[in-house]
Amino acid sequence: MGGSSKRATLVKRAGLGLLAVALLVIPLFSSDFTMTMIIRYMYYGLLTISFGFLAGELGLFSLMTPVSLTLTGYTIGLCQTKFDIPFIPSIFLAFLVSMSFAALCGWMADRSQGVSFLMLTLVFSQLVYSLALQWTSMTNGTTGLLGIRFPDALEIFSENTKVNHYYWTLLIFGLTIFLVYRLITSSYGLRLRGIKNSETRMAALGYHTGLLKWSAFMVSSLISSIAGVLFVYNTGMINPEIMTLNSSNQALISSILGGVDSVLLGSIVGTVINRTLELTLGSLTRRYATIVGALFLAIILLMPEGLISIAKKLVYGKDGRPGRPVGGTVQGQSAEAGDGAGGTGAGLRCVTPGGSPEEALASGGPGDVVSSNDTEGTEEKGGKMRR
Amino acid sequence: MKEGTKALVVEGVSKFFGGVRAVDQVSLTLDTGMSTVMIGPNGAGKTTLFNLIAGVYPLDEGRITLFGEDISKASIQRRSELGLVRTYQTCNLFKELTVEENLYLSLKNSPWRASGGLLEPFLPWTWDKKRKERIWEICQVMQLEDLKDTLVLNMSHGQQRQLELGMAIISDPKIILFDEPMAGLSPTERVFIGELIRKLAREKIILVIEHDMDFALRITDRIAVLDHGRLIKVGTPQEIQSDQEVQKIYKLQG
Amino acid sequence: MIYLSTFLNGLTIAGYLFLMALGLNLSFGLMNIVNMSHGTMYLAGGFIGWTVLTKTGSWFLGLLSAGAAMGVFAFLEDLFFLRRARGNMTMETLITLSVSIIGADLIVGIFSGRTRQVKIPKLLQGAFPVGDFYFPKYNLFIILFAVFFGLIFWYVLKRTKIGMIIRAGVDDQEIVSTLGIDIKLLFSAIFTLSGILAGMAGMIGGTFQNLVSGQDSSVMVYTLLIVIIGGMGSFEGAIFGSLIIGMAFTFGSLLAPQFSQFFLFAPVAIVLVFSPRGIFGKGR
Repeated sequence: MGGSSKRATLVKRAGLGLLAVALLVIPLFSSDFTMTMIIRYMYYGLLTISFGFLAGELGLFSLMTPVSLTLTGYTIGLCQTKFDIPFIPSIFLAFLVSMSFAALCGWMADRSQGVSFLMLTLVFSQLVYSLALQWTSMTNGTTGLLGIRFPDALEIFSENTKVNHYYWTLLIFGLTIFLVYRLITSSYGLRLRGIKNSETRMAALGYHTGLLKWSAFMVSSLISSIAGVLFVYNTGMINPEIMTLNSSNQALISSILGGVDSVLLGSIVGTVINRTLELTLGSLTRRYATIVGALFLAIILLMPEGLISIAKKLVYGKDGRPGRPVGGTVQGQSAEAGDGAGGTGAGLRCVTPGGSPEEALASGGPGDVVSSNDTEGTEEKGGKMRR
Repeated sequence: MKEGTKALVVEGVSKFFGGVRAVDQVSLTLDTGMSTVMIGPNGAGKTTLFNLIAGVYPLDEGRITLFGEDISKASIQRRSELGLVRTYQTCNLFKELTVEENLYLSLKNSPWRASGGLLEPFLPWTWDKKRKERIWEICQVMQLEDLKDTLVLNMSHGQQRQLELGMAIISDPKIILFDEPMAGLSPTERVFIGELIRKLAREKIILVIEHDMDFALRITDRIAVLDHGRLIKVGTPQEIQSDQEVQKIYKLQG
Repeated sequence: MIYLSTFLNGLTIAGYLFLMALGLNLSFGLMNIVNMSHGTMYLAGGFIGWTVLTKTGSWFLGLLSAGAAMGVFAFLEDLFFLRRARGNMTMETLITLSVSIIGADLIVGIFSGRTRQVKIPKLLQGAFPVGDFYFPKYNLFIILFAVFFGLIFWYVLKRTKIGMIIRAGVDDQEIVSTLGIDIKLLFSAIFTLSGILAGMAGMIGGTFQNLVSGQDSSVMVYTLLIVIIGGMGSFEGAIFGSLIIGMAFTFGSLLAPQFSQFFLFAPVAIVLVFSPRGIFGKGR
C-alpha cells in the first residue's frame, strides 16, 4: 500500500491546490457568465453533498434534499420582501425554520430504513411543495418570490456585483466543504459508516444509533440550508420549481453519477457533469431528460461506484481503493461477480447489511445445517430490516 | 460489584415466536470461574437465548440481572455499558471498513473510550494515540498485524473470525457471549482460536455456543444442555454424559 | 347534502387510487421495492388508452390496451433491469426511479403531454338521481370496478394456494423459495400484474379527471400516501388507506380549498406519529 497511497495523497493535494488557486483567480480574467456557471456548480454541488452525506455515510437515500434549501430560501425571501427584516436576523430565522422542520422529519424518518426512508422523504418534500404552491398569499404560488437583493453591506470584494457574489459563494462553499471533510474523517463519520455497514452491531457495541442517524440527517439538512442561502442571494428569487420531484432527483443523479461513496469529490464531479449536460444537451434536444435518465440507469447497472471510480483506478491501481486485497477466499467479491449488477462491494450495495445467503452458508460450515430457529437473530438483520 | 451478587443471572426466561416456545423457562447463572459452554441440537434456542441476554428481543417472561442490575428491560446500549459483549454466528462485521476501523469502533465502552470530551467525535480518530496503541495490541494478539489497513470484505473467512474475536476482547469486557466461534474454520485456525478462547475462559466470564463436544470439553468443565428451548442440565462433562435425558436427545440426533 | 356528494366523490377517487395502491403494495410486500415508475405507468396507460379510444372509438378497448401495454412494460422492466439488481432493494428502487424519469420525458415527447380529456363511454354516460343531486353513472362504475378487483384479490390472496404463497412471501421471502416456487417467476408475475392495474387505473382516472404530464408524480405521491397510511404490504391497508386519502382529497377541497393538497398529508403525519408502520403494518 505504501507507494500507491502516498502517490494518491500527493496527486490529491496537488489537484486540490491547483483547483483552489484556479477558483481564486478566475474572476480576474473571466466573463460574468463563467462566474455565474461556477456559482451554480457551487450551490448545486452543496445540494448534492447534502444528499451524498446521507447516502454515502449512512446508506440512506433521501428525496427531500432540496426541502431545507427551499425553506431557507423562502424565509429569507419573505423576510426581505414582505417583512423588511434586516439581513443577519433573517439568516438566523431561515436556519431556525429549516432546521426545525428537518428535526421533525428526521425524527420520523429515522424510524424507517432503506427503501421506506426514500418513500417517506418523498412525501415530506411533497408536503412542503404543496404548501409553497398553494399558500399563495405568502408564497405567490408558482411565481414565487422575486427581486431578493444581495445585502449591500457585503459588497466588499469588488465593485463588480458578480465578483462579489462569486467570492462570497466561494468562501462559504469552501468553509462548508472543509467542515464536511472534517466530519467525514472524524470518529463521528466512522460511526456513521459503521451504522451503514451494520446497525445491529453498532447498537450492540453501545452506540445510540438513532441519535447518530438523526444528527446525520440534521447535518445533511444544514448543508442544504447553506446551499439555500447561496441560491437565494445569487438568483434573487425562489419558487416551488426548485423542490419538485425532478429537483430532488437531480441531486440524487448527480451524486450517483459521481459516486455515492465519495461524498465530497464524487458529489462535486457528479454535479458538474450533470449540470453541464443539462445545459449543453438542453440546447440541442428537448428530450435531454431521457438521455440523462438513460445515463443514470446505465451507471446504476454498469458502474455502481460512479464515474469517480475511473479516477480512483488510475490513482490507486486496478483495485481502485486504498489497501490491498489479501489472498485466500475473498468471499465478498466472488459472490458479487456472479450477479451482473454488483460492483466491487462498495457503491450502491451499501444498504443491505450482512446476512446474505453466501455468508450464512460460509459460516454454517461443513455438515452444520443451521436450523431456522437458531438463526432467528441473524436472519432478521438480513431479511427483514431492509424493508 | 456488591458482595454476593453474581455476574449474570438468568431467571425463568421465556420467549415465544408465534405459538412456539423458542426459549422456555431457562434459568442460568454465570460468575467468575463459571465459564460455560452451551450445547444442544439445532433449533434448541441457543441463539435466541443469546439474543435475549444481549437485548435484541424483549423478554416474554422472566428476569435477567447483570452485576446486580435488572436488565430485563434495559437497552442494548446499557447492557454494553455494563460490560457485556457478544460475537455473531454469521459475520456481522463492518465490511466496507478496514480492520483498524472495525477495532476502533469496538472500543466504545472500554477504558480506552472518549478522552476529548464533547468535541471528541469530531476530531480525526487517527489522532488518538492511546486507542491506536490498544488496537495495535489486539492486532498482535489476533495475528492481524499485516491486515490492519485491509477492508474486511477482502479478507478470508478465517481472518474475519479472528477479527470478530478481536472486536470482542478489545474493550476488555467482563462477560463475552460467543456464538459458534469455531464455525467454518480450517483445522489450523481452530487450534489458534480454540487456544485463545480457552485462555479467555479462565480470565473472563464467557458463555459459548458450540457444537463440537471435544472442543467444548477443552474450554471449561461446566456444560449446559439446551433442548426445545428448555435447559435440561448444567454440570460437569461426567454428569452430562451420564445423564439419561441428554443421552436420549443425542441418540435421536444420531 | 353537499357532504353526501363529496363523500361519493371521495369514494370514486378512492376507487381508482385503490387499484394503484394494490399493485404498489403487492410489489412492495413481496419484493421490498418501492416502484417509483408506478405513477409513470398510470399516466402512460391513460395516454395509450386515450389514443386507442380516439383511433377506434371504443373506450373498453382503450381500457384493455392500457392494461395490456403497461403489463408488457412492467414485465420488460423487471426482465431487463430489475432482475439484474435483485436482492438490493435500494438499487432496484433507483432503477424504477430512472425508468420514471425517462418515462415522464418520453410521455411528453410522444403524447405532447397536453391536457387530454378522455370521453366517457356511451354506456356509462348520464347520472342517477340520489336525493336532490345526480350521481354520475361513470362514478358508480369506478367504485364497482374497484370493488370487483378488491373482491378478486381478496379471494385469491386469502383463499387460494397461490395467495397463501404470496402472503407467506410478504412475511418472509425465504419461505417462498423453500416451498419450491420459482421466485423469479412469481416476482415477474406480481410486477406485471401491478403494471396492468396501474395502466387500467390510468385510463379510468384519466376519464374521471383528465390526463396531463406531471400527473405521474402527483398520482405516485397519492399512492405512496395510501401505502404509508395503510401499512406497507397490507391488503386491508390498501383499502383503508385509499378511503382515507380519497376522503381527505374531496373534503379538503370542500372545506379548505386553498390548502387541499396540504390537508392530504395531515392523516399521514398522524399515522406516522402514532403507528410508524401504518395502520395495518407488520410488527417490525
